[in-house]
Amino acid sequence: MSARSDDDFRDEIEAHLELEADRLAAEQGLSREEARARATRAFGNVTRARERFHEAQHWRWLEQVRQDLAFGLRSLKARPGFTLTALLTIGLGVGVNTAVFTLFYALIARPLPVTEPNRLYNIYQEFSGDYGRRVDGMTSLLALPEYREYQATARSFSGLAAYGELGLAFERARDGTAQGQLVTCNFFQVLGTAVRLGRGFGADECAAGGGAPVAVLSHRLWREAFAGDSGVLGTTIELNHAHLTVVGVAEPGFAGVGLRTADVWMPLPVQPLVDRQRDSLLESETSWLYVIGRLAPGATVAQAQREVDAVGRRLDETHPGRVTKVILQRGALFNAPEIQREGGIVGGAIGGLALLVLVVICANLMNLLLARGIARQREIAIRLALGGSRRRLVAQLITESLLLAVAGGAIGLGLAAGLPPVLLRLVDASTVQLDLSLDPAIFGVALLLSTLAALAFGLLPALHATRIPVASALKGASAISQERHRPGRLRSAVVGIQVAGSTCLVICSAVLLRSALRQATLDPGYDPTGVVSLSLNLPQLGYEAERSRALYADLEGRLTATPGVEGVARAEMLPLLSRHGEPARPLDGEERSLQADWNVISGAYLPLMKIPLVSGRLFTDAEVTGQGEQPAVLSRRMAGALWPGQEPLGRRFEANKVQYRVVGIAADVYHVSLQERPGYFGYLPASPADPRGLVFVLRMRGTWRRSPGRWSGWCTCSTRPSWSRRRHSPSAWSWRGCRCGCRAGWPRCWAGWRCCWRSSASTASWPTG
Amino acid sequence: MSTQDGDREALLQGTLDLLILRTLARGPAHGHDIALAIQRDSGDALLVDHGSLYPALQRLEKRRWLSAEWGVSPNNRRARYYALTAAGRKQLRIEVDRWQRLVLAVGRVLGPDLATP
Repeated sequence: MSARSDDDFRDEIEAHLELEADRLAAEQGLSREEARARATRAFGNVTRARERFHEAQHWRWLEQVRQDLAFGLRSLKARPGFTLTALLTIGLGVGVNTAVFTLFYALIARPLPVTEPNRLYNIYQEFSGDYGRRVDGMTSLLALPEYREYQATARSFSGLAAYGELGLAFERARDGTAQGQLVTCNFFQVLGTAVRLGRGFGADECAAGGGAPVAVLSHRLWREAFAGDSGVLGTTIELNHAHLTVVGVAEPGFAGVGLRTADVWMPLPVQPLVDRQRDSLLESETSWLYVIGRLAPGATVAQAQREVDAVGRRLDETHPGRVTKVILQRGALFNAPEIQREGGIVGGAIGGLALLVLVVICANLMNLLLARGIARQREIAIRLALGGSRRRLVAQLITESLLLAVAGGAIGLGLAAGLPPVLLRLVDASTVQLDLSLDPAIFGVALLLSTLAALAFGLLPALHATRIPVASALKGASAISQERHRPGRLRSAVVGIQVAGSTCLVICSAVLLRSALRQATLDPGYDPTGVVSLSLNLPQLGYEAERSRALYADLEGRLTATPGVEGVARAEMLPLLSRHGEPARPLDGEERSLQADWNVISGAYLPLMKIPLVSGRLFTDAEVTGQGEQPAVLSRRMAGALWPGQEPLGRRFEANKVQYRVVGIAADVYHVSLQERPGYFGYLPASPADPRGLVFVLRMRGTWRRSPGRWSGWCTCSTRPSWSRRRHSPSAWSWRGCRCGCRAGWPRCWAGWRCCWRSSASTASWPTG
Repeated sequence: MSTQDGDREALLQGTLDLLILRTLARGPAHGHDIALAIQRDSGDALLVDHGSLYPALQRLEKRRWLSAEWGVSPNNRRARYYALTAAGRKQLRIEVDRWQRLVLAVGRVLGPDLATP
């Protein structure tokens, strides 16, 4: 039955009245007017009948909502000051929360940009007990033999792919570098992404030993470096000075399934060619591969978990004392267990602070609304007196709050869409893929937050405003009613919440500021001021040991002679930039191993970094022969852990199958991170035979700020020349700086080689240095 | 027949629907007719409130017990004619049944001694 119109009903009543008038006129001989009047009287309240019809006919609440909305809009428009304040504050609260959500959602929960992302799962391993592991990235990554084990056994996956990340020197890329991934042959199939142009990898190219070295380019790199020329297929490109044939271009937008944007994919057997420092393919105890699999149709996560658990137990059989916990994580950009654990804490803290901001804002608005409720007492009393039900009035007031919250939420959503990209730009996230665009989940969260906020700040004031003695309020006795109802008490409570929340926020910012200051003023145990590193990717440039030895010696001489350079040393790495984990096993003492971090250094490193010795002596480059027992310096904690309560000097230990004798004990330094207390750390002597992989560490005299000008005489930075003046965030203050690819200038003239450097620099502009 | 007479009984709550359905069981009629018919058939004992009649008709129509269409009365007035639907007929039987049980039950409570005061 189609709905009947009000007019039709009115017509029917009109017809009735006419018929009744006709009858009265005929039966009682009344005049037409008299008859009509009687008929109307007999009918009773026509309007009431029509109202009853109307209400029965319509979706009453919908109409009420419409009325409430219209009323709410009118009343908000009438107080633009209040409305604007409320909108902006809600927008801020919802915006901050939604932005935080967007960021964490994009990192850890957003479905990967491939087909059916919900069936993709990562496999990670977490070890406990007695284990030794080389770490290239994160401990939870897998070694190639481990991947093969899972791949061979796990039937719940229709395919299991693996990839390892690798930085590449690539001349044609904008800054001379590209991010590569070494992948299993089934990588593209498992992820369900097509190769746009050309083909993926053939079975022979992935077989151990490998066929011709090939590569697939990302669509972005193809556009950037080859201007989208399809003639690139079949041509040879140079990556880390290895020659690879381009066989395909990936789908537009596909940049791998990790946080770091991938530009080039190569089959695993290419690894020794493009990464000459390592033999990752052969190593069974190196964590370097991400493993991602697609659940087979019909298979459940629980099944898959049982299967991989079984594999984990089997792997443990050959490692007595080790317990492996295999972790399946739904595919996301940033889902390794260690990252999620840390991220959970950070995310919880940031999310909590953001929510606290919203709470304070709600309390603030609630107070404003309570005050408004008192101002509107007369209006509300009149409505109540005219027969408006309390429920209806509350609905009306809440509708007003909802209007405010939803409009504010829309502002917040705009803020949330605009804020994260800006933040990312601040931290220089150009090599990171993060999808921060709006999606239903983000929209839903913003809506949910707005609605909850509206209820939080609107409900109590609405209930309160409508609980008034109508008679006295009508008489304008607002003072009396105020006294009797004590809205003041509620308002005091709300003020309490506000003060408490704000105090929390102030304390939190003070704590954050303090820890930032602490990091800035923290004595890391070494002096980074004026320290610069120069790194040469010689293995990647095809230098063999002998030639690099000559180059290093020559360079060291030139650097020492450079004006402004106070000292020169060599090291595997600078603190905070990377880590090199390796177990150490004491040779005299208990039979057990200790997972530690190391730096491989020349004898000049410790004095140059101003890391003090606690006891013993430094090793000299002369006594490092590269054969037999080697001298080493351990940190105080490390020595204490290896030989508790004993004199460590002169004792022997083994790391990476080389035996060392402890000649000195150095002070503990913050090498791995400024957040963590110094852990087990040791300094191993750099082999004089092969300096490849070492960086030069220079101490500059005076302010480093002025140095680039001097340096540019023999090093042309391809990045912005203002790099040394950039201020860095506290955690990055010491070493993160310019990546300067030096293509022209002295290295070419001098060595006759095209050379690409990266140099990292500390900034002396940091006030505390 | 004036509707302002005070000696007529107001309808019991809920009986109007039954009476409307019963009246329409005799054939289609417009609202005015229905009101008159109820009054007439009750021997002028029952008072039908015209103001309640039309919302009631609307209610029944909405429940699909009645169908309605505009027509012309014998004295050439436009009027909305109501007719019983199949569902309406079924509902009538249910309501009649319920009414008779009610009357019987109330009669039993009142007892024979009060039957003829």
